[in-house]
Order: sequence, then structure tokens, then C-alpha cells
Amino acid sequence: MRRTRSTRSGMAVFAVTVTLALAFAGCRGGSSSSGSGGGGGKTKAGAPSPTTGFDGTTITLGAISPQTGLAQIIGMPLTNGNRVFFQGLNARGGIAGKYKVNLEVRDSQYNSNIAQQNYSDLRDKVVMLAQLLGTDITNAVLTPMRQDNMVASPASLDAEWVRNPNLLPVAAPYQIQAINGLSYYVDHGGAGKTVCMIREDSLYGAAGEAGVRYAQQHLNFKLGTIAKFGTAETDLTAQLQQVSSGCDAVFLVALPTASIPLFSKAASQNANIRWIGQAPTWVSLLASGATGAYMQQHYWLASQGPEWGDTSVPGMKQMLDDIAKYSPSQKPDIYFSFGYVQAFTVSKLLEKAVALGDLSRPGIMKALDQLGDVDTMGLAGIYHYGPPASRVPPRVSTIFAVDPAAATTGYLKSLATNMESDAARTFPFPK
Amino acid sequence: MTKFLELCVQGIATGAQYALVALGFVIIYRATGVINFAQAGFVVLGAYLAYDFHITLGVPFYPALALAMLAGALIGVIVEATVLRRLVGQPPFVVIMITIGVLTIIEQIVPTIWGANPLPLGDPWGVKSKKVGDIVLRVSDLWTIGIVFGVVVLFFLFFRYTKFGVAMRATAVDLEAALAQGISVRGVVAVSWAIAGMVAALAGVTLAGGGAGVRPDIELVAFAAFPAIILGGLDSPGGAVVGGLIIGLAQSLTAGYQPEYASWLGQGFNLVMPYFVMIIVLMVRPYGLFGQRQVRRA
Amino acid sequence: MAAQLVPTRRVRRVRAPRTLPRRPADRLKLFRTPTQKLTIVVLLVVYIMLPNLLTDFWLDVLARCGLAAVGAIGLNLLTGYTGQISLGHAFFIGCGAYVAGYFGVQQNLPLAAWLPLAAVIGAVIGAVIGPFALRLRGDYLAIVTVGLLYVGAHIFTNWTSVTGGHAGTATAAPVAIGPIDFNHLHAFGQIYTRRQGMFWLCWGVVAIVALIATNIVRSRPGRAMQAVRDQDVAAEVVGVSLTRYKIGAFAVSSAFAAVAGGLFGVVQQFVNPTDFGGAPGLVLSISYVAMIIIGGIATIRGAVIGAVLVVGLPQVIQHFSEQTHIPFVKSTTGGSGVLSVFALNQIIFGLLIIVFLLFESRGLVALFERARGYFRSWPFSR
Repeated sequence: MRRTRSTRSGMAVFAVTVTLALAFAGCRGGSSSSGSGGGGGKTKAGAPSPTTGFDGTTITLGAISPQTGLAQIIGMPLTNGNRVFFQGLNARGGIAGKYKVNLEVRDSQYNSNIAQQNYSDLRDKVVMLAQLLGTDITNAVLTPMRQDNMVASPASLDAEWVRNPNLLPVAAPYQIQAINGLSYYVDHGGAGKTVCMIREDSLYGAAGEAGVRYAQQHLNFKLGTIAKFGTAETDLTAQLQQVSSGCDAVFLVALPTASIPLFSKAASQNANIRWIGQAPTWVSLLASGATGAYMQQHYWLASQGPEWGDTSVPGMKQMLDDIAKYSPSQKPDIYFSFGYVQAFTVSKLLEKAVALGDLSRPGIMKALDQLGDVDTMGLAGIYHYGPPASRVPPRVSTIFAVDPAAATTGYLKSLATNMESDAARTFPFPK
Repeated sequence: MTKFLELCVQGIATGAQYALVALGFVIIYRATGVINFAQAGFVVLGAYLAYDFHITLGVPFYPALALAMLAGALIGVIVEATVLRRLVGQPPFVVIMITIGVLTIIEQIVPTIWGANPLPLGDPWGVKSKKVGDIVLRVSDLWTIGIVFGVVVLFFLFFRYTKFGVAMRATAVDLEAALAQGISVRGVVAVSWAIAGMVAALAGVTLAGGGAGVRPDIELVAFAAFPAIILGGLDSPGGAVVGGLIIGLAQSLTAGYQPEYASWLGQGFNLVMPYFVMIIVLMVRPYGLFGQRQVRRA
Repeated sequence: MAAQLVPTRRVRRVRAPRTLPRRPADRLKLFRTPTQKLTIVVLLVVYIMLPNLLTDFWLDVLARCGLAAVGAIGLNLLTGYTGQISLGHAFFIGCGAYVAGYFGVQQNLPLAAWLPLAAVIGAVIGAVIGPFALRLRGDYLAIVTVGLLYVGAHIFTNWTSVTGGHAGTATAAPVAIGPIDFNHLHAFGQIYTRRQGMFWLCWGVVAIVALIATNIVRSRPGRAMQAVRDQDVAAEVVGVSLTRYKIGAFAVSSAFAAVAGGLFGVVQQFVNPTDFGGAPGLVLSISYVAMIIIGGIATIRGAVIGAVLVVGLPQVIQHFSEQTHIPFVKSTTGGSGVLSVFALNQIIFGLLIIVFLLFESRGLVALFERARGYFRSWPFSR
């Protein structure tokens, strides 16, 4: 084929362009590109030197959380919990009494594609992520986090997070909630009875089932039907049918989108079942709406922390004081308390990193390995952090009953606060 | 047998909800040839408006429902007059895109005004139920089914015996011929949006009633109603109802029996089932069960 | 009315290119005018330079714009050129991502193998779906393709050996062509970050795909496709096989979507069924439709511009609102206000779509044409 003149000149232009452009390589102005955020941050004198997300006086933290869309019902109060704690902390002087904390929130819309963009936005701005909400999203963001040595605190309770070197999980995992919930049931009239299960077909549901199966080996009850439902399902009539005969109690692992229609159906059938639900099954509508009376009789919630307003617990007192100052419109909400505890734990990690004199990403990871026990002032039990293999989550849960009249405590009354069952004490976390 | 009947009752109740949602889509499609995605937003808005009239302003429930329907009609007309009227003659896909834009805005406005937490609707149906033999019938489900019947009868009377209804039918059949007869197509379109807004409010209330609560995620049901709309035929109100009931029953019976008898189909097959029913029907009848066949002209 | 995709209203004067090609062969050339050649050179310089100028964050956004452009070009062939409306595009994107996960990560095949394989698998699945389009028309087809998303979600969740089920699967497939590894490029003593490499990879594929698509639409199949879109009965009469071109369009469009999905896999590194199936899948599919409509339907440039806009604009809005204090709006760092900045961002995005389409329903490309027409005939322009 004969080459025309224009093609040849085109090739020449191409060659020149490539050479010129590549000659400019690396001229990228002083930002970001170094990626794995190592370098500076450490001094011998003790005071951490400025690094990504830390200008010497203010520590910037990130949060990737659904602030719009259907999951905002969890993301908004949780983020507010983070925020209120840090505002209170800043007023008390900040991390180690001198460094103020600034929280940069990004809206993931509960979509892992967007969450990753949030992450690449935040990674050059923050010391660590104080909140990462959603199991799927955490899995998606973990890959770049590993490459960057970034630490994040997940806002989901999967036991899988316990051994992850990049994660700072908070509170007892779902498995423990299930075991403690069933222990309480067995101790309060459930001995020898049949326990069934309705669970979401997802990692969240699998975590609950693992807890139920472990409890069954160590506690005196029979395990009946396990009915599953898909994550997008909202009509659980068939599942309710499966458990409506031959089950004394049903352990429920679901989100409110599924649990609300389920309970409204169970209430109209007046199904004689003792429901024990994992924390995310709960939403205040279940008590304030038409299902209130049924829930009061039939539902227990396995969650953590004290009853809202129980100021005998030091953490609760501080939390209520902070709410009164910084977010007086905040209603009682279990997600808010979780966000508050989470921020508290993050502050402890940062204090450790400051004590070690290094706020760089590897510095934070090292601080996580050396953190030791974090006592959450009675809000969620004591978590032992350390090298991943040696971490021990708290094994305490709180069992709540519903009281439709108790709006001031978020309609929840504690039956057993921060209880730790024998079965939960022996539960082995995967290595 | 009890199980079968219970599943059927559940299927019909769900199907009736689908039918109400589908009717809104169909009314607008008939008049304009556009699938109005904002309909899902209207459903949610309708439920929240009923909440505001009933709980916030203290209007008794049924008058509040009527007010919500009027407000829904008003919203439909406003959206039509401010946005969609400017798009007459534009390709339907552009119009559909714009209805999606409207939906995006409604989705953000609702939690901004009312918060994201589910709210109790305070409907008189609650979790009450009637027992017939071994079957438990939820009062809210009975009302939903009754409302659908009422709407269908009203639609029939309206389209059959009122001048405006006949005009709407004429417009749906042939727009140009209708114009030539002196029918105000603009008026027909506006009324269609108003009706869609009213039906949406009804759908929203039935979805939020019976203890389900007023919450932003009831819009998901609007998308679940897609197969019902298509199955009956995009431009047939009667088809929307039949389609809704078939889809509701198919979904409910699959959920009840598939895990037992055909577990190899995998977990959550009942969510896929409506689409299989839809595809099979469409392969036999490409315009749905009652849809108007479009003549192919060169 | 339903089949009319390309608006005929407001037809504007069509201007002939300044230098009329003398021979018919020249008229079929890809780049005819000096302006076009110059544009190519400028784009090339931008392509090579951009990763040296922007931060990793913007490169990540642009890489995602690029992979979306690949998918949008595919959808445009199907919807824009052939008139077959699909809301199932997210399903094919998902297939591509899982091909990257299975063949790239689990079987450890090189880029040169798994990416073409994604295209082939996408094409095969598309060809299987295609026959449905023969029976269905317009909006009916659109909704039936929604069914694909639900069937897809079901398969993605249950076929655990390939997809990892709910837990998801790693999709960071190898991205090396011979010695050039886009994960850690180095040339002239410089080491480049992964995100710089991803930008080059994605936009390199955009160039290839755009070239293929341009060649399809300016040759016989392209004209046949447009005939099918505009008057299918007439097309059939003059000997265009509807079966062949409708199924062909589905296959090609799905192949491009699967390539986009493969790129999504390597950029995202980890996927799970909620990325593509059910309601989130519908949102993703709709965003692809938005790209080709906003960019300008039935143009290759339009698909690319639309992809950049739909994927990039939310990030631009976010950064703009981050730096401005808007009254009554809660910022990303908290504070008081009625409306959260995140809700506002989405409202702005929705409003922009509405206002833009009200103003110019033929998309951005038409807007550019108008502007160009204005400047060309200046000072005599209206």
C-alpha cells in the first residue's frame, strides 16, 4: 500500500506529540500522586509532623456514607453521631488536648461505584476514614485501601472485619448479638423450645445464621426452619407462612424495608411468635405505627449499649450533653449512638497515633496494632485492638423490649443491659 | 389448601397495589405516548400528603385521602404545565428522560421535607384483620382491592359515558383525527396528568396503610409494577388491572412454592418470575393482553 | 410517534464542509478536513498530557467517564442508530465485569485475552437476547429489557463459582500489554500511578471503540441500521434483513458494553451483584440512556461527550458546592441548614437535565453545531 503524504505527516505529528508530552511527564503540580501515602509524618520529638490530612493543628477525617437515597435512614443519624462526638471533642480540646478534628463527609448513595470515587476524592485529604457504611461498599473500597495503607472504621458489624488490618471495627459483631439474644430467650422461658429463623440472603444474613447455629450447639433449644429471602424482597408472606407453625421463636435478620411489612403482616395475623431481631431490623415506626401493640408483646431487639437516657452510664451522659449542645433536634436513634461510639473509638486510635508521634497512614496502622483495650464508657463494651490475629471484640449485647409509650427512649426499654452470655464468651472468631 | 388460599389472597392484594400504580402509568401513556417515570415520585408524594393532611393537620382519614388525591392531581397538572407541555412533538425518549429528572428532584425533596424515617400513616385499617375459615384477611388488603374495583368502575363510566372520557379515548386512538374533530388535546393531556396524580395518591396511601408506614422506599413498588403495566398493554387501563393481578399472584405463588418444589432455580426466584411471565405473554402477544396494536406503515 | 427517535423539528441549514471532497472516495474518509485533523492532534496531546496535569481523583473520574463512553457508544449503536430502546445495558456491563473477574483474576489471562473475550461473550449474550427485539417494539422492548436486570441479578447472585455471589469478587484483572503494565507504567525514568495508567487504558479503548463504531455507521451496516430505525417496513422491502441487523446491533452494542464492564472491573477492582442488578442496575442503565440523549443521539461524539457529562458533572457540582457556602444548605463538614448539600447536588443534576433538554432536545452535539454555525457565518449570523 502506498503511503499518502497526509498519513506520513500525521505520523510525524504523532511522534513529535508523544515525545513532547512524555517529556512533560511528572510535572504534575505538588499533589497527591504518590499514592501509598508513606513518607513524612514521623518525628523523634514526639509531636507528629504534618502529613496527608494533618496540617499540624487540625486532623481531617473522612466519612463515606449514604446521605441521599433509601439508605440515608441509617447514614444520616450515624454521621450525625460521628459529628456530634467530634464537635464535643473539639470543645474539650481535641485529640490529645490540642489537635482539632474536621470530618469530611461524602455521599456514597449506597452505591459502591460512587463510594470508590468518594474514596479517591478523600484519600488525598484525610488521615483515615472515621466511617465506611455498608458491607458491599466496605468490600469494594478495601482493595484500594490496602494499596494505600488507609485505615477505616466500618459501620457494619460483620465478624469478617475483626481480622482485617485496615479496619477498625466497633462493637460486638452480629454473631454475638444473635448468641446473646438467644441466650436471653433460653433463660427467659425459651428452654427446650423450637427456634426458627428468617434471614436475608446476604453476608449480613449469613453472619446472623452463624451466630444462631453456634448458639444451637451450646444452648438448650431446637433449631427449626431457616427461611431465606432475597435482598430486594419486601413481601415476606411466604417466609412468615413457613415459620407460623411449629416455631416458638423466630430470629430475624432483615433490614427495615423487609421487617416493616413482615411485622405488619404478623401483627394482623396476631402470630404467636417470640421475635428476636438483630439491630438493623429495628425502626421506630414499628412502635409508633399500627404494629406497636404487637411489637410490645412479641419482639425483642438484640443490640448494644444502654437504654437512651440512662445517665447512670457515663458514656450516655456525655452523649446526651453533647446532643443538647450540638444537635438538639436529634431524636433517640440506635444509629446515632453507634456513630457516636464509632467516633469515640476513632478518637482513641488517633490519640494513640499522636502518642506514637506519627499521623501518617503507616503510623495509624501501627497505632491500631498497639492500641490495646478501648473502653467505650459503657456504650458498647470493651474492644481489644492489636495485631489482627489478637483482636478481641466485645461480647456484650443489650436486649430491648418495645414500649410504644416511651417515645423519649426511642420506644425501647432495656431488659438486660450489656449482658454477656456464656455461649458468647466462648464464640471463636475466625482467624 | 389454606396455604394456597393465603398465598392467593396475598397475591391479589399485592396485585391490586401494582394495578393502582400501573393505572397511573397507563393513563399518561394513552394520552401522550410517554412512560412517566415521575409517576413513582407521585406515589410517594401522595402518601406523604395524606400523612400531612391526616396527622399534621388533623383532618379525618378519608377526607384527608380525598385532599391528598386533589393535591396529587394538582401536582400532576403543575408538572405537566411547567415542564412537559413544552415538550410536545419532541421524541418520547427525551420526554422520558425529563420525567426521570423530575423523579430525581422529588426523591430529594421528600426526605428534605419529611425526613427519611418512616412515619405512621394513622389509617383506620391498621393491622386489623377478619377471619374467614382458616384464612386471615387483612382489612387494609380488602380496602386496597375494593379501591381498585371502585377505580375501575369509575374509569369505565368515565370513558364510556362522559363527553370528556370519549374525547380522551378518541385522542388515544388517533391524535390528529381527534384534533380535527375539535377536541382540545391540550385539555385531554392535562386531565390525564391530573387523573394520574389522583391514582398515584391512592396507590401511595394503600402502600403506606396497614402498618407499612409512609416511607421513601414505597417508590420501589412503583418499579416492581413495570411487568404489570406491560403485561396488560401499555395503553389499556383494564389491562393494567388484569396485569397487576396476574403478576401479584405469580409472584406470591412462586415465593410460596418454588423454594420447596424447584429450589434449583435459586434463592429469590419470585422476584424474577414476573419478568418471565411478562416475556412469555409478550412473545405471544407483542402488545400485551389488551394493548392497542400499532399498525406498521412504511 | 414512538419510533421517532431523531427529532425532525427545527431542521437547520446544513452547511457543506468548506473544502468539498473532489472524489467520492475522499468523502468516505474518516477525517476529511484540516480542522478534523487538527482536532485529532489536539485530542492526542490532551490524552497524553492530561494525566500529568490532573490529580489522581480527577483522573479516576475521567477513567470512569472513559469506560462509560465505551458503553454509551455501544448503546448509541443500538438505540441511536438502530432505534431499539434498551434499559438492560447494565446487565451487559455486569457480564463484562465478571468476565474480567473470572478470566482475568481467577484464570489469570492477560489483557490481550480477557478483554476481547469479554467482547465475544457480550456479543454472544447480546445475540441471544436480540431475537426478542424482532417481536417487540419501542417501549415494550424497553421494559422487557428491564427484565434482563432482574434475571441478571438472579444469575449474578446464584452462580457463586464465577461471581462470588453476594460476597462479590475481585476484578482487578491484569492490564499489561507485553511490557506495558497500566498498573505501574514507567517511561523515561518516570513512574506513573495506577490512576494515571487507568486513564490511559480507558481512553485508549475509547479511541479504538469510537473508530470501530464510526466505521460501522459510515458503511453499509450503519446505513442499514438507520433504515431499520427510520422505516423498518420500507427497509425490509428494499432488502435490508431486519433479523440480521437488529440482532447484529444487539450483539455489537452488548460487546461494547461488556468491554466497558471489563474496564469497570479493573478500575473498580471489586464488584458484587448490587452493582448491576435490580433497581441499582436500572439506575445505571438509565444513566447510559441519559448519556446518549444528553450528548446527542445517533452521533459517536455525542455518546462520548454525554458520558463525560453524566459521570463527571456530579463530581464537578460536588466540588463546586464544597467550596461555596450556600445559605440554608448543610455543607460536607456539617453545620446548620434545611437542605443537605448532597440532596442539593442531585437536585441540581436533575434540574440541569430538565433545563438542558427543554432548551436543546437534540443534545450537546447539536448545541456545538449551532455555536459553530453562528461563528462561521458571523457577522451575518442571526
